[in-house]
Amino acid sequence: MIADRGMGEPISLGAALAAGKKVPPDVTDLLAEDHETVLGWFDWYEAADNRTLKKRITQKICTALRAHMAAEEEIFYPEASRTSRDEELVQRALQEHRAAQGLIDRLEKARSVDAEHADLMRELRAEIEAHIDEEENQLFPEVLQSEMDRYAVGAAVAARRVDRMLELVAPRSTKAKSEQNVREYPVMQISKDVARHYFIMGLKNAHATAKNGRKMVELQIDRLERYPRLKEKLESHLREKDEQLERIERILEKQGEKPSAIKDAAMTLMANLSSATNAATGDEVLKNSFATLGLAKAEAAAFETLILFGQAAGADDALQPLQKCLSEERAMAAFIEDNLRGTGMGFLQLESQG
Amino acid sequence: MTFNPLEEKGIPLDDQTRNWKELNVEPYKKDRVHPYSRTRGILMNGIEVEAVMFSHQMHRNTLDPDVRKQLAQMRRIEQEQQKVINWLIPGDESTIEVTLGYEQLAVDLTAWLARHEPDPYLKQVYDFALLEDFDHLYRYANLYELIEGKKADAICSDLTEITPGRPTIFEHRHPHDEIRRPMTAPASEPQSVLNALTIVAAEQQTMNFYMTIGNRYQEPIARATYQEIGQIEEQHVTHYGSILDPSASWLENLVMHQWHECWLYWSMMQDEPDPRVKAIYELHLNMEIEHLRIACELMRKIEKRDPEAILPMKGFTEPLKLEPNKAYVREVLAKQVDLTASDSDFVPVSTLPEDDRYFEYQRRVNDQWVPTEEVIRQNSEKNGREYRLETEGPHPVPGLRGAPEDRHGEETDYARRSHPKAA
Repeated sequence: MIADRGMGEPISLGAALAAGKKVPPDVTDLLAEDHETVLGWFDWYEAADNRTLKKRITQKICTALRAHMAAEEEIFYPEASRTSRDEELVQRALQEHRAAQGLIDRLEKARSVDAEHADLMRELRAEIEAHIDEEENQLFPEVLQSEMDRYAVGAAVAARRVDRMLELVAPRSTKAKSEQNVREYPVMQISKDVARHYFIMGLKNAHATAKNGRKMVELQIDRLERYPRLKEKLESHLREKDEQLERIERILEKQGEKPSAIKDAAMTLMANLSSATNAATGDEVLKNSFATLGLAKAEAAAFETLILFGQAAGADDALQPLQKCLSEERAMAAFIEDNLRGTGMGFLQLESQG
Repeated sequence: MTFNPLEEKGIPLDDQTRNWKELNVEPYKKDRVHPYSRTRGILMNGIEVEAVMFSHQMHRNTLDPDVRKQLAQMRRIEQEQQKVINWLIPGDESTIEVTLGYEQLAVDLTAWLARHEPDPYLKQVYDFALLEDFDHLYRYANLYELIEGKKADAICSDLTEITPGRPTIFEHRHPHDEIRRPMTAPASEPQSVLNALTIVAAEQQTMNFYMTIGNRYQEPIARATYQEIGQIEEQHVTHYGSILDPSASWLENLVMHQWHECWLYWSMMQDEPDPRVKAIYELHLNMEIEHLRIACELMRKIEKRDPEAILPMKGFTEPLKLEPNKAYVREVLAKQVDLTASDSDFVPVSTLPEDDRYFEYQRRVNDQWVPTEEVIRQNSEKNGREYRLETEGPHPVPGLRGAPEDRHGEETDYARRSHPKAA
């Protein structure tokens, strides 16, 4: 999930990747790199000269394999069977996973590192090597020929793999409370259709809000001659607003909505906020600042929710533009907050001069 | 001996700022400083430079104004720490003398890390570049004698041997062969994480240093030698940078950086003989403890995660130590001098096919002349012999021994592969 927790920044690796803050890997390269790493660890196990170390390496191998397999089973295989249409190969891979998982279970339960342990490890290695051979020489070539978006899938796999690893590793070293924090990813039953419905509705509302916000900013700009910094910021925000409107329209179009269907109904919230802009009293610059701050925060909240809904609706290519809108509104709100003191004192100074 | 920075109380951030007088420390005496005191300073300077540059990058990727302010305040302090440590170097230490300190550090730091690296793949990563830095020390020692007429043991003492490693001429590889396989922090050994953060910062500062001061000489041979070795530093920063966990978040990285700085200042305090410098390390440790606390607080607040869950261990048990590694370096030399890199693996150069991109790249850059070979030739010509400091007997690789009669006709696989094919 996009876990934007209060500062406009994506938190989880998945969110960071979706928002374009990290460069995603080609899924086949990522998985092949994992293969080499785990084979290196098997060598290390064989060369290690004490049991404590062997046990630690075993744990490392088991954790890495579990995380790797979870990401493959939940994300990569379904995608591979859909795009390569080689169901048989994927089924075989799944069977091999089950065999490996049985061995991993036994290894994790083993009390001592003895001859039996070494046998189990040898067996696991053989199993993994055969599996790697099949994946790299049969499945990956098919995937490379297919239409799979290997970077999108790579992003999802990388994120899932790290999440799973943290679930497996962190509880051991964490207090109960923080464990709960780390596992802040409840499995929820969410219908894609419902998510899409509210996603579209939210987009239309956001469009209306943005249009209204644009108007409000435009109205203010002409009256800010004596506040050049604020004026300059609002002018650049006006341009951002135009881009936001375009972005939302493009997303709606991609979702099969005709631009003509976008009705910018005035919203109650907006009406309240913008009424302040119309009052042409002496302290209007202050009132406008409060209103603009409120509006920027309201819009940020809306974009944050849209990102969540968009992800739930599977509208992955909408996330990055929405993240941009979110960042812009956060930045706008932060600017006004940072300048409240300056605006307030400037107002008093001007009033004092008469 | 255990030290857990999370259980200590540091200096409040607002109290960490120093005045110009405190910052402008008196430099050490060039002829009296212990070589490892010099290298400890070079290491910690590199660590602070990384702290500053990392913080700048994070700041440019952070939207929250409060977090940006906190980063700015901590960064200002990291800058002060960097100033104090780097200004310990006296003005009468020449650029090549400082350089010898950088390369001595590279040798004994990398060797310590390799000896303490639990993961065999990563150990190989360290061993591999160790032999290259070891060779740089030898090339610069000859440049030093050639240009300043002095011997490198005046700077390095006899703590580190000075003799050829993997010859620099053969270190130039195609960029695609510098990428290693990354760690995934949750599945890594705690020591591996500390080691990687240390070497990346140290190599990066060496790269920065040569990028900046390599043009400070008038002699063409000096300018060219810095250029050629400077390009290897780029390779090394790529080589080591690629083992860091690319999936870590900004905040995870911030916590790791601060935690790692605590480990190093604590380590440096243990062995520093100069009480004045030791006091600086202790002061900085107390500042870093507070930086770590703030980083952890940010992580709890923003990511809603417990930083203790991602820190790989509860406390530090073993300090990093700068000490002689002669036997270890000789052993690695004897076994691995003829390795090269192919993608993320290390392979004997003799196994590469004739049309490998390695040879193509070699032909490209070594086409006309090779400064690091020329510097040895010029110094031999001037002094009747090259400069070497072999305290433990003849060179472990017969093909790299000085006098032709000691080589008994032996040569390295590298040398063999570089001969033009007999018609």
